Amino acid sequence: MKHALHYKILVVEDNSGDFLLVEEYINDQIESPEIYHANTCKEAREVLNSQTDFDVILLDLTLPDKDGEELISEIVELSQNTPVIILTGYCNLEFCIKSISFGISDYLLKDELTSASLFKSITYNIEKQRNILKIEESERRYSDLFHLSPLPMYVYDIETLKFLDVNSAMIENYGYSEEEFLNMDITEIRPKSTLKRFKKAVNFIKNQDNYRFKERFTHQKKNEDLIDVEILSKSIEFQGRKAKVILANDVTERTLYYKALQKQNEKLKEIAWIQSHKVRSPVSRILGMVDLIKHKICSEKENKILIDEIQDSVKELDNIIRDISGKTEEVKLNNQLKNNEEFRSN
Amino acid sequence: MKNLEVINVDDDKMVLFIHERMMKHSGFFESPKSFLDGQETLDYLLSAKTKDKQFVIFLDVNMPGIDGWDFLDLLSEHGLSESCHVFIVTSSIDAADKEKSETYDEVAGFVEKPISVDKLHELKTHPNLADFYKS
Repeated sequence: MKHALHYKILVVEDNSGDFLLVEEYINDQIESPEIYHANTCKEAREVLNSQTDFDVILLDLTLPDKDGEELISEIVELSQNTPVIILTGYCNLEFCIKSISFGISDYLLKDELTSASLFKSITYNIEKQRNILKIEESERRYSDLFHLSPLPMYVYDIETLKFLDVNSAMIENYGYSEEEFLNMDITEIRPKSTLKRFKKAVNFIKNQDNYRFKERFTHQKKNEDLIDVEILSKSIEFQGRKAKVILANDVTERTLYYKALQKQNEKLKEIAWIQSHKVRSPVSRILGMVDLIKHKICSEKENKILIDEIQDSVKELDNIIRDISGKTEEVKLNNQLKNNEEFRSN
Repeated sequence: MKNLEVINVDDDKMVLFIHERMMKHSGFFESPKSFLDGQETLDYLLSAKTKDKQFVIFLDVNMPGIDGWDFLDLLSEHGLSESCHVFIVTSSIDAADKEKSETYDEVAGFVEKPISVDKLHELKTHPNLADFYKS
């Protein structure tokens, strides 16, 4: 029974007898395969440059124009992740094993070749290659998540506290180069005064798989600026070492903003107090005096005094209102933020 | 109204003047007394108190020195609570002030500045004062 697989196969083989045999074996097992034939390395190069999406390349190790290691490295480079299976006429086991590290997927000995063993190797290596690509893709995706994250992230060794990896946001935000980071440990991005608390925190998260610190930490950039950060940690294995991946979210701006808001609130409260107490006092006095005049309670002479008094109270009121509008000007949030910036650079 | 005295306490002389005139004019009280601070008021109360005398005090809470709340504390310290009916007079009624006043037994009510003729007529029927105005 033939397998209905639409494999596209390149056979690189200068010996026409061997090629016919291989072609026959393939046809034995696979229904309508698409088989391309190259006699030399040069021909193989031409085919691989003009055609893509081969499922597998079967490669004889000795061609008239190239052989051995040189041949392998050229074909592997041209193959673009297509699995390459070596067909070799003699048992050079050592070299074949070595070739695996050059990117060869499998090797087969021509003398022992059968249609069944060839078919098994072809299907097995095609599937294996697909899985390898999938894993590489998923690793790349995780690596991208780390390296392309807009939030600063780093990986450190939980025993030595050395930086093992940093992302570009980290490099940008802290001002150290990647090389500098990889020669530093994580105590070096902290002001000395906070090291005691930091060591406690590091010991604490050692045995926590995932942890989000509620309180903030102070980090120090290369230019010695201090920033407030929120820390999120997760245990990972990094290049075979126990490590933590840390997300250090810089919340300095947010903290400053809250402080500015708080100040603004205080000012507004003060204004509200003035409004209700100071303003009301001359107003109620005026209302009372007007009431006296209206009810004709006082003498002519007294009324004249009352009118002067009303005028004084209105002037007092006017001053209070000017004072309020002056204070309201001060409350503009931008001013507060500017003040905070000065505070931060000190 | 033999045994009744009405007292205004405020650090603003004009307010005292307005209140005096309003009280006279509305028939609320013919000769109210005025004091500029809590201490003066307290001294007077201690000298003027008799067994049967009742005092109605219109008290400003925001005063320098002894403020309205201190004054209320002093009233009970000197055993004057029984004979005093205090109306808190403010230019702005603060929710916090109102809440605070509920902890004082001496406080009979709140009056907003300035006291009007209408308000004084209304006060004549206040439960603490109604007895004095029965004709």
